[in-house]
Amino acid sequence: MKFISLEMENFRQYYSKQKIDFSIKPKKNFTIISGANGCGKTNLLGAINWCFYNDEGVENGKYKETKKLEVLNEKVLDDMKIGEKKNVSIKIFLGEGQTTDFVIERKKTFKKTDTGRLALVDEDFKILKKTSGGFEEEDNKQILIKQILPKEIRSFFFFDGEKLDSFFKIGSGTNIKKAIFDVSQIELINNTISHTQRVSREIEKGVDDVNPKIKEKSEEKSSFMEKKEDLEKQKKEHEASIENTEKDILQIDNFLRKFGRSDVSSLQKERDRLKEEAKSIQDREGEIKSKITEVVIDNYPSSILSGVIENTINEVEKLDKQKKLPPEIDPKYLEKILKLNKCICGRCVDKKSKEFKLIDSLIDRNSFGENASLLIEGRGILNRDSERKEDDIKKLDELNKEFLRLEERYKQVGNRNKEINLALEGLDEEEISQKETKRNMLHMALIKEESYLAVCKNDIKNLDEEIGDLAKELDDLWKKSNESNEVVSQIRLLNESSDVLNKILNEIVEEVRNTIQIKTEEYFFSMIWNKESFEKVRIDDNYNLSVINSYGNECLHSLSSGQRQVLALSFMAALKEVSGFDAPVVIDTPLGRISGEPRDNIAKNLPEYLKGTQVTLLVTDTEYTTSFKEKIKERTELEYQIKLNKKTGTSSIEKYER
Amino acid sequence: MVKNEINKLILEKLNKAKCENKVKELIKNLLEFERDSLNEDVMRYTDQYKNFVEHYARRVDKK
Repeated sequence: MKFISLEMENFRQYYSKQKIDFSIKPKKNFTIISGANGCGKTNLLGAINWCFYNDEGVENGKYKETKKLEVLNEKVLDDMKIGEKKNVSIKIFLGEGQTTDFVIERKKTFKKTDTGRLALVDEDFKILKKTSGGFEEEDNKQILIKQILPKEIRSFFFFDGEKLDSFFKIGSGTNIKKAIFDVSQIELINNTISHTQRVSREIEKGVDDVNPKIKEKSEEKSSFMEKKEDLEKQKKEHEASIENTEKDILQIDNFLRKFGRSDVSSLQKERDRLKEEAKSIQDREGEIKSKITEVVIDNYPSSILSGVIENTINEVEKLDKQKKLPPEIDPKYLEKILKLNKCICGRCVDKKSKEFKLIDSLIDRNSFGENASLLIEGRGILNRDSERKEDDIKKLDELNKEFLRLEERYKQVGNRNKEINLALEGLDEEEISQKETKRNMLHMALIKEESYLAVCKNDIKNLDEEIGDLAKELDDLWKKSNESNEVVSQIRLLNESSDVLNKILNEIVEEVRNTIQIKTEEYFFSMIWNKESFEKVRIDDNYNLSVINSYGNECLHSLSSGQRQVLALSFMAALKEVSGFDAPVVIDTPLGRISGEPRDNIAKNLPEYLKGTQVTLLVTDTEYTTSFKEKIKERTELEYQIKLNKKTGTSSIEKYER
Repeated sequence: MVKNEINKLILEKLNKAKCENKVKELIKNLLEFERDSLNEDVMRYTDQYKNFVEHYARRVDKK
């Protein structure tokens, strides 16, 4: 199925009627629609979604502010008179070949009320199908939409390239699992299984006068199953909550990235830390300065008199050597020893002994007079001073070194602070810090939800085991019971059916996973430029997608943004292919945020993408470079430009002639 | 996947599955029943389902 053309009237910023014909030639099936940021590319994607499903299918906030507003163009609304009615409509012409087979049309009529507000007065949705006698309105519209492209898998056909990356970033296993389940369309089996189980339970419950043992076990099983259903519900809630929280976090991250920095908060924290460090450096420097002053003051006199002191010490040393110095003992003690003929240590000091003579001579030296004691005391002081001076010099040296170190660090802190200030300059710091606080809260909530989910899953697993055991027991009991064959047969039949269906379900999902893995790898290698660096693409049992490099290591997280975009585009193409639906693909901003060389690399290989599928690319001006144009030329038939009238805020689509 | 393909796949797997023929038959009928209810978005409710299954099981048992 291809888009033949699209007609729209008054949708969002598109004023009055606009028309796009799509490229429908088998080998030239790319349609390029380019426009600057904010001119309405995403609204075009929204228009297609709106026409098919009555919602714009835009997630994650691009319409956050406008979502509540009606889709009617604002200029039309402004120009409307009270009581006047205006239409918003999208018509999509689709065809298997090059002519229209279906027309899907959604129209809403609005009226301006007396209060100037907008009221929806009529809405219409119809599908016209080509028959031999012309176009006829189709009765079963929802079924037809499901046949063309079911709502739950539309996001593999109409998507935003900028957001593909997040597919692999946030809880990738869950996202990929959901995608695979969606694409497998296994709701049919799931419904059948849950219904079989429910009916089996009902029948069990309905049997009266049953063997009490069976009754007991059956009630037990029933209560376990109810518990399990409850847990399944909780699990779904947790999963949804995790998904939403992850989206919110991503939105905040995108907001912060808009300023070119996702680490604003850590910068702010670092700056606070630096502030404290600078203060403590200053405090310590103050302490050092006063210590240095103290030491210098202490040493000032002795430094000034250092020459004199040195001389004095030398002189005293000389005298000492000549034994002309008085002993450092009080003469009174010496005299006492001589008088008692006994030393304080108890030795006898005979008058004729050497010791007596020595002590006597010492007393004699005391006759240096009054100067003697001064000399003794002074010698001690001078020696002590000189030793202290050396210590102080060492101390001063250390203090100086520390001071220099601190000065150096202070300089570094100052420079880093300047850098941070420069980086944060112009940002609304309050808003950013609010966002950061919110992000932290969300992060905490996420961890909590994840732990709840894990508990939930574990409980379900345990219950499954219990239920399985009980089912076996019950089966045995039923066999032995005298119950009518009919009931036993019904229950056993239903239980066995649900087992078989479960097996089939697992096999199908496994097959789909495997096929998607193979297809993703095929696309990845057809588009990636450095093929030799990679070995394979894998989707493991837990639905985590990984890329194995040529050394055999997992390298998803070290892929460049360009390589990741290729992987994401490949995965989407694989899902699209496995889905079996032959619907056209529309990609908003296919190259995402990639620029420079990787962009050229993707552009070069993009013509290889989805060969045989009609692709519409909504590209930004910066994305649609000359080299991109050149490379995509061979597959492009028609090109359009979206022109935004800045005065009126309305956009129009113009065909671009090469 | 497109419904037809999925149905084909299920039936293929069902034929390979090791189970009694009457189980296979029931599943085939259930899927058919379920598909109708999906398409028309009605008859999703247990009572109708139960009646069908009871009726079916009775029939199978008599065979």
